[in-house]
Amino acid sequence: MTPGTLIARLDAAIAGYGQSVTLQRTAVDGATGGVTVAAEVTCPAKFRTFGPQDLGAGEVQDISVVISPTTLGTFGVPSRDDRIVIGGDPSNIEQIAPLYYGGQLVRVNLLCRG
Amino acid sequence: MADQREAILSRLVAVCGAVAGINAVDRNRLDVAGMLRPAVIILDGAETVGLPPAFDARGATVSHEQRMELRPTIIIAVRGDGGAEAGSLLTLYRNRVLAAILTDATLIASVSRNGGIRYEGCIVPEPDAEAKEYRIDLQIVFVYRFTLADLAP
Repeated sequence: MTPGTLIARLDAAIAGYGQSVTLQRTAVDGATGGVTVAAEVTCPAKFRTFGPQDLGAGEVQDISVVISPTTLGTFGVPSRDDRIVIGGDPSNIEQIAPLYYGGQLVRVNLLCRG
Repeated sequence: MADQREAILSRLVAVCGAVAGINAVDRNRLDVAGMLRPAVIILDGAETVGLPPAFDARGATVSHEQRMELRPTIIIAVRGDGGAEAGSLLTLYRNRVLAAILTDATLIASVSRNGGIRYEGCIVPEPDAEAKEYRIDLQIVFVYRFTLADLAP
């Protein structure tokens, strides 16, 4: 087993049942509080929604996301409160769990809320 | 007359939504749609009697008039980068939202001459580690006259 094998298996799995999501890193105007997108990357991901906090459509819910490092590129590992846009709905990334094998990033687990 | 509680809360949404720089306002939600920032979220909060109702001298079992206190929570949500700018943004929008509410002629009229609007302070909840989302909760008390006639459908 090598890191490359693990990544290839994850890529294949996500390609099978995943969906495209967009990760966004934001910048804030210190004078007005306006938010702009400073960097973003669109990548395939597997996600599962659970624990709805509100019964209203589009309301706050928790989302578990798995991303392969293959498509992260220069965006790198997401950080706290980067945003993830799934089906047009933005959520905040609240927990980030990068998994390494032999010192190489092979998978990123995220817990998002929004 | 209209239900004063609803009139105040509805007007609060309109007033906060008109504040310069506020991009979204919603009521009784955990967050605004699209997570727009800066945003205001208004929670209806508690309506309690301000003074114990006086017993009706004529022996009525229902108080036809009471002095009520409505305590909505007004949450201002902003996004920050490192934290320092978030503090100044919270202050900026605290000032703007407070000024808008405390000087709004419709809100002032809705509490009548026997009531009033009182700012009771604010609190900034402790942020999570490395978080970029910040909020400040404003506590404002609206004192107004409650009458049975206001409840008419």
